[in-house]
Amino acid sequence: MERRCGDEHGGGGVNVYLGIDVGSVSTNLVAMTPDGAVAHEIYLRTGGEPVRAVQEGMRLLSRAGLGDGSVCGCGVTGSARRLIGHVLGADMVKNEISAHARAAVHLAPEARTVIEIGGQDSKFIVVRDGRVRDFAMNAVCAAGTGAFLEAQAARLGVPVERFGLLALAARAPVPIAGRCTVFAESDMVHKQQAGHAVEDIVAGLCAALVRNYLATVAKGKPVAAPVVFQGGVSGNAGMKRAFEQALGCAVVVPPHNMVMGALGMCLYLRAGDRGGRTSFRGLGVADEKIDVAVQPCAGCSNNCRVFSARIGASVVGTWNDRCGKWSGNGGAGG
Amino acid sequence: MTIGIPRALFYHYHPGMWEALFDALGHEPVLSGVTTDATVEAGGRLAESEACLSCKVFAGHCAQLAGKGVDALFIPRYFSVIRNAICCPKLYALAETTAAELPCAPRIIRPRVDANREPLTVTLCRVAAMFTKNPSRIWRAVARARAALAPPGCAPHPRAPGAGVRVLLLGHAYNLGDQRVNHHITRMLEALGCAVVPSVSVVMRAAHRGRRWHFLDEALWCAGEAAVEGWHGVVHLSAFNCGCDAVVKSMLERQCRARGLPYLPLVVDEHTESGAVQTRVEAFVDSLGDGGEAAWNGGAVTNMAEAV
Repeated sequence: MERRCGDEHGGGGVNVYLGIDVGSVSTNLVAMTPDGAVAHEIYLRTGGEPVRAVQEGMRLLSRAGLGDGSVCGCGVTGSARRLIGHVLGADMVKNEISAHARAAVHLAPEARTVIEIGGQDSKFIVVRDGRVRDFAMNAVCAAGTGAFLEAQAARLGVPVERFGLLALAARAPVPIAGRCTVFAESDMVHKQQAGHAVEDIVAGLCAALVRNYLATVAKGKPVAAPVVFQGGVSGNAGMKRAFEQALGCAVVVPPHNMVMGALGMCLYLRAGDRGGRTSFRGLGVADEKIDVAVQPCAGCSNNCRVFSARIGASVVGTWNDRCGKWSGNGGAGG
Repeated sequence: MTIGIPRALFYHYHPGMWEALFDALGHEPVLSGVTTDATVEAGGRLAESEACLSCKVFAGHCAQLAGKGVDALFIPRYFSVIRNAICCPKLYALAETTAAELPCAPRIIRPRVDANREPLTVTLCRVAAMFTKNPSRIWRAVARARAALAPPGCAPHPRAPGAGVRVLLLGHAYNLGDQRVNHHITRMLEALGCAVVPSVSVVMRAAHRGRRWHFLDEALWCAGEAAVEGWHGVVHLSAFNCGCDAVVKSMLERQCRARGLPYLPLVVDEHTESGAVQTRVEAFVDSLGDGGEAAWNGGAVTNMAEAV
């Protein structure tokens, strides 16, 4: 069921590439025109329900005036990329490291280091000549990511949006134990009880998380300027300043910093454009009933848990089998 | 007598050899099945929590064999498989740790395997002599065991050399040989268009180059070869908590950086999701190739177009 943009529904204005980043904490959608301008940019909470979040995003896009006919490519990245890729009929499904790097070098071509901190993972990407040279991603520990900052903001009774500005107002930042966020939390309680001001504690926390990031994610890899800081946490001015202080150089937060993964997918789509032909199922997916089923396969010792996505009564995709027995048949037997 | 052989750790140094020996001696070798989620779970419960994933998997295999009611478990003490080098110390003590982990473990046959003391053929003779005193029977069994072991040095070369992305896959033989532990990494890399050379296929033909730890020696030597032969990258798969790999990783990373060879360390434990491995592997392959620019249906879901 491939179609070409502009074919049906009369289109809805200019043609766009639709990039979607479905992460653990946020779901971001970007619609980019072929000349590289961002026509729509949406940042939503995933809330543990990636399908619902994407449906909500589709609804917002239609409300903003986007029509099916103007979408000439759909790409998905993020940890739920396979699921959403099947549900939307994506043309391209890519890992989030490549997508983030792609967007960073597009907006800051001279970038040599990309720091990306999202809801639950953080990445450190070394870029040379516009190409990824090396990268690292947090493995077992989610210390210092958005989820932790949010929990601490809630504990201190500060809205997370104000968290960064509060850190900038600090006069005497308090050192916080940042090796492990479990200890950081108890250390913060201790500092509060001792009578330190909230803004000083918040600034100290930002500095601790930056130290933690540099020690556990960057792990001694060279940090060369210019440094680009993106991802959900990059909206936090306190974290930006803490990085600048720790690295001793300016840190650039690019425009669209919260939705870089989705933007990266748009850029990949544009580079691989097939004359506007797309398998995108359409924004109408927002109103469909979508179910995901998980079934253990007893076919061999791999014991794969096979996923299948259903829109209404028809199976639109089957995946996660290592042998291809289920996915290889196009989901017909799912 | 039924002799249980766990398909883990030492087994992957000499796959097929011990079964052939016992079979030729008239005993029934029972090999545990390939590692599954259940094996990992059982091993995680039995083994000491600080042990590496590979050791936990080993415990799971032993439990499976004990559950099958084998008469004896075969857990040799591997000190060394290459002259002048040593294995990881955890392999020396497996018989003891297993006896401690399994409360009702059957009898454990625990011969020493040590290339620093004697050639492998002599070791095989010694083990065979534990079962029979007949020299011709011993000799026949040893010959069959040696024949069952794939001859070393027949390293598969990267398919279609010169074409595509060539990747050296480094890891302990027991991790590269266990698809549950390594998340089918070879297939994952091949699906992304890479030609993969696993380090285990290169190691045996390498003369020992003076580093005492055999895996360290193997890893550094292979990476050197890879750089010389112009491979595109090195993927190093290691099990969480492996003491040996903690050292290997930092030395390897430095050597690769010095030689301009892209290096991807992957650490897996019992909770690692295949998706996490996939994300890193995809990004690594993108960085080696065209940056992922050319692929419309960029690798991750190869059959996406058919599925929709």
